[in-house]
Amino acid sequence: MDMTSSKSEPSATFMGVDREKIPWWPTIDLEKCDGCNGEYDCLKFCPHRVYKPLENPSRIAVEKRYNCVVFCQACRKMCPKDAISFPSKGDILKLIKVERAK
Amino acid sequence: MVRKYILPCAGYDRPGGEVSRVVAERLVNDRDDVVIGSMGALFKERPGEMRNYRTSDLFCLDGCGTNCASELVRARGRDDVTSFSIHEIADSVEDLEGKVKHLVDVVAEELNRRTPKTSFTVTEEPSRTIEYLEEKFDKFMLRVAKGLKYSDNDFWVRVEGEHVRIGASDFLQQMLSDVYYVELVEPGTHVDMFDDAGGMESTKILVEIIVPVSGTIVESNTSLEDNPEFINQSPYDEGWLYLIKPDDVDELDLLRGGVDYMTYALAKAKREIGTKVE
Ligand code: SF4
Ligand code: SF4
Repeated sequence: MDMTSSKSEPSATFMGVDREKIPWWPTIDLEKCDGCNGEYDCLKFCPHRVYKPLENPSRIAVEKRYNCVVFCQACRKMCPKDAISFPSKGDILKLIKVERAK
Repeated sequence: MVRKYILPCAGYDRPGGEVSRVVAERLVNDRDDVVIGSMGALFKERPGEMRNYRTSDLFCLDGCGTNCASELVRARGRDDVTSFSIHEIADSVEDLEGKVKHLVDVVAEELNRRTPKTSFTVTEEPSRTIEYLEEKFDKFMLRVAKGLKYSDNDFWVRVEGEHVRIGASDFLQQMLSDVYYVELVEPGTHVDMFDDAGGMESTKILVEIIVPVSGTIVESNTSLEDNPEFINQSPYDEGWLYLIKPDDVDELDLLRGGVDYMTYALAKAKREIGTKVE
């Protein structure tokens, strides 16, 4: 089951497609993430309020997944544990094209 | 006899490019010491073209502030070029025929002098005239340059002959605020649409450059190394990021036109500001 919330900011679209139809957001490998020992680098880094910190044990959670900027992967690169992953860009682009054609 | 290689710019679809082509054709018809260069062939370094190019004096006819002809010549290793800015020389002349005549005279005079100088016209400021759509929002003034395509990641694309130039939109620039570091990837890198290629760091955030078109990077704007503030001061001109040889220009259909992007950016600005003052 997907634990991330599906709430988003008011009616956003991306390339003419409803943002909520585009499954682009970070996935956290909780085996790897250690919440940066309570420092939460990704949370501090991303200005889009995607992340939410968890305590005991310290981990990160994706709270507002549709706030994530489609095709941005900036946080993945700065995670010291390499715990963040994203879908394939090609697949998402394909999906966007299909949606646009509707 | 020294041969003269005249390179009209690649902006065929624009007035300056059109004029530069007509002027070059007329000079070739009038004289026997002139060859017309081809941006495309020079870019691809075709052998015949390169032979002419290497053995001739070079004269570039730049149709707009991009100076794509002069730039390409420099990129192909020569800096002893005489550049003519169509815009600066002929803008005062009204009709097309008048412009052409005047330019032919100016260029011919220079050809007769034979020895090229580095630069014929003063290139103080980039002379690209950009027209904007402007909308006020809160205390922002959003400027969207007309005639460009925009991605929803807030990058613009300008078609320049067989290349496209890309950069950050005014909206993105304002969201970033003062950029102090720009990291660019090397020319020669191939990127797919929406790949990231380098980034921009400001006092507020770091954003990735999400390239709005697939292709091979031909040039990156190295002046940003010393002048990252160009991103803020001149997002549609001096602050450009990459010149790209696109794989498929049809891809640009996926992007927005200026009016459409303005609506999108305004909605986004509203959300961003809402986010801040929550
Ligand atoms: S940066 Fe990586 S390790 Fe640190 S909190 Fe985020 S996901 Fe976890
Ligand atoms: S990909 Fe970008 S927008 Fe999405 S969570 Fe990471 S930094 Fe934030």
